[in-house]
Amino acid sequence: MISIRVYPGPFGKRDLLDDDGFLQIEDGSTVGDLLKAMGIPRIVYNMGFYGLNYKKEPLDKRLSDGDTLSFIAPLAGG
Amino acid sequence: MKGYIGKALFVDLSTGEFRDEVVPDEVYESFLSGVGLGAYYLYRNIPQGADPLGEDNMLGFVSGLLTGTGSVVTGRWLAVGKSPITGGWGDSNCGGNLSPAIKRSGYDGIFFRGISRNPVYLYVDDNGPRLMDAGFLWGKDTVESEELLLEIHGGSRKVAVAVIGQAGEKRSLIAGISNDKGRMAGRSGLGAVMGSKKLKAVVLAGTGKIEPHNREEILKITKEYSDKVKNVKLPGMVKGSMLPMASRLMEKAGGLMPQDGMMSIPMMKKWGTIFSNTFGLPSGDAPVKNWGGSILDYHFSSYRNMNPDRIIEREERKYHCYSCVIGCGGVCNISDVTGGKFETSHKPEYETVNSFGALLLNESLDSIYYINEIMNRAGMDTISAGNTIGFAIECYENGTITRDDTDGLELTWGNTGAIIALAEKMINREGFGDVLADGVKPAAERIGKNSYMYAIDAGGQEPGMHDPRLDPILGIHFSADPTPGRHTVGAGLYYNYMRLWDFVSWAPKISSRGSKGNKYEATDETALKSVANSCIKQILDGSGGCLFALISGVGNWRLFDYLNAATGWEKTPDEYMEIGKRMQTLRQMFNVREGIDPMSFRMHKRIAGDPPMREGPLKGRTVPIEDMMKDHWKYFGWDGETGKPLGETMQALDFARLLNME
Repeated sequence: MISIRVYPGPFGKRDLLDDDGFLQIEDGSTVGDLLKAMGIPRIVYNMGFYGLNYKKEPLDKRLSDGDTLSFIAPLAGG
Repeated sequence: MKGYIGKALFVDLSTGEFRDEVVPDEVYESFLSGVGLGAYYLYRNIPQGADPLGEDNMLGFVSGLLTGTGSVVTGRWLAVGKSPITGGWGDSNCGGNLSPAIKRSGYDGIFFRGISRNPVYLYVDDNGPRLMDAGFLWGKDTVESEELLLEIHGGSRKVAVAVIGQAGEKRSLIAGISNDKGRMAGRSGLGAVMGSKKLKAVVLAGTGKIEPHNREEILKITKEYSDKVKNVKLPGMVKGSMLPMASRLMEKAGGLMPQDGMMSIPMMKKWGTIFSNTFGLPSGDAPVKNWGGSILDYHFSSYRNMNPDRIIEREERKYHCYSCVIGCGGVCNISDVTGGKFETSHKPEYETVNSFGALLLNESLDSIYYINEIMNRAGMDTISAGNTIGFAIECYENGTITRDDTDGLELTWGNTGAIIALAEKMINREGFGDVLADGVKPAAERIGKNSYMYAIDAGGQEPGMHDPRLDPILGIHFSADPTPGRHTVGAGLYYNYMRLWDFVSWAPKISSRGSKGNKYEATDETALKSVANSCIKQILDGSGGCLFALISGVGNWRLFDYLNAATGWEKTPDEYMEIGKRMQTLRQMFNVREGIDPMSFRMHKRIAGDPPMREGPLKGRTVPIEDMMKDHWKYFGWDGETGKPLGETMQALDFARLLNME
């Protein structure tokens, strides 16, 4: 198993994460596998609203232990 | 070589004398630089009871400890002084290119006292400081003045200018100080202090070096952060028209969960703060109709005019403040909408758009371009001016004032022509504009009757354009801070993005599974969050850092590591937070010494939800603000009832010794 930090934003099953935001997933899993496991709506990830380690990566990109996968998080501010 | 210069300049405008002072290392280790250095000197040198517009008040221009060290997003400076708005501690924060120029001129801070007989400006280069005649600039706006000064002193050199416009000259209490032709240190009324001293400008042309302890380590952190900022992007198909939907989605998911602050950066890169123009309204973050309305009064057909895509269509170029890798600034062409009067203008910030848009039910974006430019040129704070016009409109709509009072203006909601005319009158202190030119609190005192009901303020300061009924921790900072009404001090939302709990032992952790806590209750956890916000904000303002970098997360923009690399101190995050607590406590001590009752800074009851809204996204929401303020103070080690720092806290922070050092 590998450990991935996930910031799902308003999407997906947050109860799969531990308190620190990590998801345990099988070694060899891809970005797409993780998004499916988290229950992120397909339309959201197909539109590319996520970043893997803050980069745009394809859904078949293989994950590595310690990666961060996060969704766009708009912040009101001035 | 610790990132700071180690010297401050003192200028007596009454006598024309200059004095350099070596700042002991211990001052930096105890208060950092920037706002901390300012608080250290002003607390010791402004006599109790000094008139904010008198000879004894001091006005400081301070740079950040990290500015110029090779760190990024650390180019902010602050103006500091006793505020003529609150009667207490005042500071105001601004970007642009002034902050490094202060240090290149050989100082971490430049402090003025006294009043000049005639208008002057300070010029500093490698040959030292000089006071020069500013008679030819008096009466000119900030942009004209800066252009003239650059013509005289610029050439090929890097020269930075801070200057006041007509608002500061006329001592409007909502006047700010401009640099980079219209960026504004707008809060606390410090432009009026500068005007009262007959100090038109500060021109900095030094070429000194800024040396950190470990530049290599700083550059390593810089590269890591800059790469992330460069890589993180919005999908190309994202449009401004999607923002209202995104706002609803985020709000529906609830606010009590950690967010990846780095993922807020793409919005800033694409639009700057104006993405909030339409993002902030559906959730209730953006105030409407003088804080008494909602999107039911200013619905989509109104606010779609403020779509940020429309504004960036006018952007001739984007720009970055000094050392910034995000680059939220822009210059817009506004020639067509101002009848050729002005060619270009800084892209209006969200705060300005909402202050003169939704807050007044004004649907004309074109009018906002114009107002933004005349306010920047006059050096008047748009947040305060918009709030004050909202107050006046509500007075008019409710019959408290009539056309006889308003010089014939029909001050109804959304009357664009009247709003523009009133903004111009305020700048010129002409007729009814003179009644309003000092902000809502003096205006309510002048109008009398029941007008105070419509004067939305906190301690005299008009609040920034974010609603505490959506984010109660924001309300704590509006009310319990020594500089009230400020949206940049802290918020529950900011806390969730910064992830301080990964570094600071006492900062409450937010579970990634989401918290079941009720944010509308005063709890110990809420108080600890607001205390953490206040402490980190002081560290930020001592460093010259930008809030938007901080919000991208302390694990990404590594503020504590930057400070250690710059200074060689090797302090822990907890030790830095203790410095932040000392800085905040000193600002509060300043206010208490002035006889201010901290509870009197409590925000207007309307924005605490008393009475609650009857419709809209904030319907029924009430913030128990007094209880929250008391808890906040208690966790700072201040008296929970009065907000006065306790003797034991002042002792633990070593004030008796530090404030009496020679």
